[in-house]
Amino acid sequence: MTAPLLEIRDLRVDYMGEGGPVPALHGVDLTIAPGETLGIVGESGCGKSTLISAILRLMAANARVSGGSIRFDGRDMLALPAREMRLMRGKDISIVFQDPMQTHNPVIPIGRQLIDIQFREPLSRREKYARAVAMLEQVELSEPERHMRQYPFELSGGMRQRLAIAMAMLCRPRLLIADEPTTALDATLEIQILDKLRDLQRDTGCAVIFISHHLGAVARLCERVMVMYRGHVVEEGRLAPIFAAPAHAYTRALMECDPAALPERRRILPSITDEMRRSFL
Amino acid sequence: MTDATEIRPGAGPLLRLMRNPMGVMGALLVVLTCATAAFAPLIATHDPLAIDVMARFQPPGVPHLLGTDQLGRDTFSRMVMGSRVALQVALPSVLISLVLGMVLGMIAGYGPRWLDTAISFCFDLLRSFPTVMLALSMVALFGPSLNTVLAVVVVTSIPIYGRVARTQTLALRSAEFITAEQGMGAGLWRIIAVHVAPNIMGPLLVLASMDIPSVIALEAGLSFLGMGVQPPAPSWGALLKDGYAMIRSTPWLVIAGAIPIIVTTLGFTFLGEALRDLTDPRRRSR
Repeated sequence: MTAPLLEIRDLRVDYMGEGGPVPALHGVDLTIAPGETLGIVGESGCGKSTLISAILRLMAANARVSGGSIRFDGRDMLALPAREMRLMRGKDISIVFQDPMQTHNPVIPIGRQLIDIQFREPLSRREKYARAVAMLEQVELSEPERHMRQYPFELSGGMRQRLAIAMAMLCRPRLLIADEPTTALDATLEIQILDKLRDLQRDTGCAVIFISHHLGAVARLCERVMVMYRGHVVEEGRLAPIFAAPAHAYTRALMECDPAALPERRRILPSITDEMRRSFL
Repeated sequence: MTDATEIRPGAGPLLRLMRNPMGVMGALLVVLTCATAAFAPLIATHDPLAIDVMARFQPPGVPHLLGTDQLGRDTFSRMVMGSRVALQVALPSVLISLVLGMVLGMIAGYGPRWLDTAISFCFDLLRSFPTVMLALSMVALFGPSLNTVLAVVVVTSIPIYGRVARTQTLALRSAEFITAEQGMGAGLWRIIAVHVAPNIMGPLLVLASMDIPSVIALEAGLSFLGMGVQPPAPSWGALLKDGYAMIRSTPWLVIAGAIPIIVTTLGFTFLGEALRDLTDPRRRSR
């Protein structure tokens, strides 16, 4: 196996509350090889977002890394000076957020944003423009030249998420983190965006961390999956074996909640009860 | 369905401004003032500084359209040339304080906490002086001149713009697109210049447009007190001062000073209010 691109060992993050630190991550391990796709699933509040904010070092003001290490390409990210960390963002690790309606500057044209984000590229404005147009074509936004002149509010949600992906990919990242990129979209769009992400991943060879609470989405895109629950990694491994035979009770319960897996129609959908929760950890 | 007042989202800002009667009125008055200032030497019928003691206190008529003052200077020409003095003070001072206030406010709103505290403290310190008192003391220190008036205005209005810029920036700071930009590696200056500045521009421009009248009034007020632009320069405030003593016998002097102040302040205020309505999201249809 090649050297890992991102290696997280025993990462612990606390949020400073009024009554002392509240742990959010209890020693998370994560490894991703170059070009690999990893899915992270788990319910709201399980620590998925805390994990990625720790990787990018864009944590909330009251969050604190209390232990563990994050190494990207062999470099200790937690010890990196703020300036170098900033230069790594985008170029090495880029991100697509959940809500496409919020992730673009509303008052400047799309073209300017796409050109501006290429500030690291030693290209002329014209070349940056051409790259941006090509990237819009790659994410299958029709009439890219016209979109370059438009403002984000003139685009639909699905188009804006394609735009967000285009913007993240323009930085040529080696690792793309997609934080629930399809949660705000409907099912048809979700599949289109997932396929687009997979195509881009194949074409550019960048690694992808795909975060979702939709197991079907993870299954469509990822080779490996990691299940998180209350700040712990409860299960981790190749997709097929885990989906075929989940080892952990939480994974099993989570899969039973998938309405598509139900054999018949029923009035009450399965859920994870408090009683079940007590047995998980 | 389209009624006359509906604003099409695609319409340009200028077109939308022109549908607002107040905006049209304001724009007309502002254009009138600026055109007067620009073409002042062509409009003025006489040299505003030329003294003609034989023609003192002439009533309005020909050739002195608005009569003459106690030195026989042509009031109309002085009024026209006064627009240059007024705009020379108002436009640069508002522009400088807008830019400085905006930059400081954005740094305070986006930068580290201690810097915010320091900058906000300076803003409060400056604002705690009454403007006119500060103006008078600065004039006493540095002597009355156009530059002193300019400096007073800049110093006292930086905090006004700074505070608005800071609040707006604080509101944007946690916006998701700012986080997204950070996630893609944009630094402090890039975020401030490319992403924050255009987002907070609207309210600041409105503020600037509404601030111009008060600057013009301040300049006229200081000149009226003899603390502003010095004679024989034709400031509107100086016209008021000259006419004030003889308001019963030669009222045209006071009128010639007051009318342009009223016209200009109304014009910029109307324009400012129309701009505010235009940029107010509650009134703007998407």
